[in-house]
Amino acid sequence: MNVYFHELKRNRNSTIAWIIALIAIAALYISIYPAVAQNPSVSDIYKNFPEAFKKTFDISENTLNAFTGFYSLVLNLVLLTGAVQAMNLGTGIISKEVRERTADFLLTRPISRISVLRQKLLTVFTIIIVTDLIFMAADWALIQAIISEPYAFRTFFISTSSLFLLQLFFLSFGFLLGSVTRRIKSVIAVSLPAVFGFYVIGLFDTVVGEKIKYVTPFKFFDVNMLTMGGGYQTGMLVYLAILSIAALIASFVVYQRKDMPTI
Amino acid sequence: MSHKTMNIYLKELKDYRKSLIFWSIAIIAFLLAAMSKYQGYTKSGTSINDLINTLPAGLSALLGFKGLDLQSAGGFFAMCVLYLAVMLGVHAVLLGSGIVSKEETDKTIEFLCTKPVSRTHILFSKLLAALTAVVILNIVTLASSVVTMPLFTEGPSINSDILFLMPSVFFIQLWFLIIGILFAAVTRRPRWAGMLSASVLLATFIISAFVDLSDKVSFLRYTTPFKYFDAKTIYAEHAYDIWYIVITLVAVTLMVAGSEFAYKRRDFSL
Repeated sequence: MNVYFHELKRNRNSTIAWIIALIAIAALYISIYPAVAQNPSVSDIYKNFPEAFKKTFDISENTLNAFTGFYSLVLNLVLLTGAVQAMNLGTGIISKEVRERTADFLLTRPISRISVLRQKLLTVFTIIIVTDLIFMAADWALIQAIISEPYAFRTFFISTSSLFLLQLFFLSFGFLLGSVTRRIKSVIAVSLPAVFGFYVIGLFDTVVGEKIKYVTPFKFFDVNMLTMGGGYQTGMLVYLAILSIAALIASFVVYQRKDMPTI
Repeated sequence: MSHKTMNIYLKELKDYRKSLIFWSIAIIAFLLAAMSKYQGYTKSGTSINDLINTLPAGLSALLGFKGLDLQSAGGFFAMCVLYLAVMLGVHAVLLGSGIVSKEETDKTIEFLCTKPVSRTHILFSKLLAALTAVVILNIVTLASSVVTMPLFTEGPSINSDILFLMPSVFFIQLWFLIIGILFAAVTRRPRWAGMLSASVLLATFIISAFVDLSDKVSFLRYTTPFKYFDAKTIYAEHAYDIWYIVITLVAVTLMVAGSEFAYKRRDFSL
């Protein structure tokens, strides 16, 4: 488990920074809500907005009416940030040995490549789970402190879990990307455009229609529905799981046979 | 400059050609997506502005269109400029930090330093190459906006608005390009340069969103380039604030000088 503990230690500071960033974003937006929610008649006005306009700004009927709707705005931003974290982590942890020229050191140790990868995968999972648990606790505390309306914990938990699901995808995708590329010079220069790319694809929902949900993880679930108490589509969860597992298996297979570029 | 002194500049431009093409494709995709949405909601015939005026200011600020006429193509484009500024800013900050720090992360700095060029020459060649790439991406964005807009809108052309707003994006690109270069030139941990400068971008962006949301923190507008060149304000007043341009030019000069000062003196991490 040496690799596991080593990686955990190496990633400690950046994980703390990511957790702070996520909580700061949530805190900023949640603290706005009391100012926005003052006007009770707003939701009636809002019903008059054309459907296409609402889709453009990704807001639902209830966005103003209740915190349940408003929370989707918060969650959308948190999801975007969390996706970058996961993609960064997945891509970075695989490609770092080559980038930092430590691959020949690590791979001459008496451990198999599978074991290296397995331990790194475990690290990444640990980091994501810790991040999400701490974030959820802080997020829930913020909601309790700032929002006076009742908000069911069940709804909160189910909707905020989408963070973990999305990160799962980007993590596996990052793993795959880290394995198949020969050398990644700068991780952030790969992960940020990749996540933004998927996000921009999601913007084409009005053109492509329903089918867009198979192309970008940002549409695997409908955040607006989730925050108002809806659930996940089982089919899409299975789809997400299959894609993630396939990406992970592929990355293990590729890494096994990879010709490590050394100095 | 003779051909010989252009070597680094030309090499960097060639190295970043592929990345520039990818970024251009992404920007064009974003414009197409955004415009198709605009076309979608204007077709419905409802007067959006009357409805928007009834929304609380906080919410329209949160959604990024406070004070904008979203019915008009120009107003919608001004809102898009906010997103374009973020995307092109990310490109600039990653480019600036990457172009300087990669010699250290790739362990090619020793090779480069054995050539008969000064460190100042290396830094300025890289700065010039990055600046060229940033200008090219800005022009690509401008040109594709001019081409895309008429496909989705009826009524008069908004080319003059596009031409007027795109320089604001350039100033934001300039800020973050130089911030990226500064971080990479100063830090002894080149691997962190990209991450650090990207965090600066994210933080200043969130500050600018926060300034929109609450009047109480309006003094914070001096801390973020996104507020210096806020497309909403520039579109509404149809003018740039000359002082922000002066501040930007002074800051850029200082940061370039600081980068050169540090880069010339420090130990490279090997």
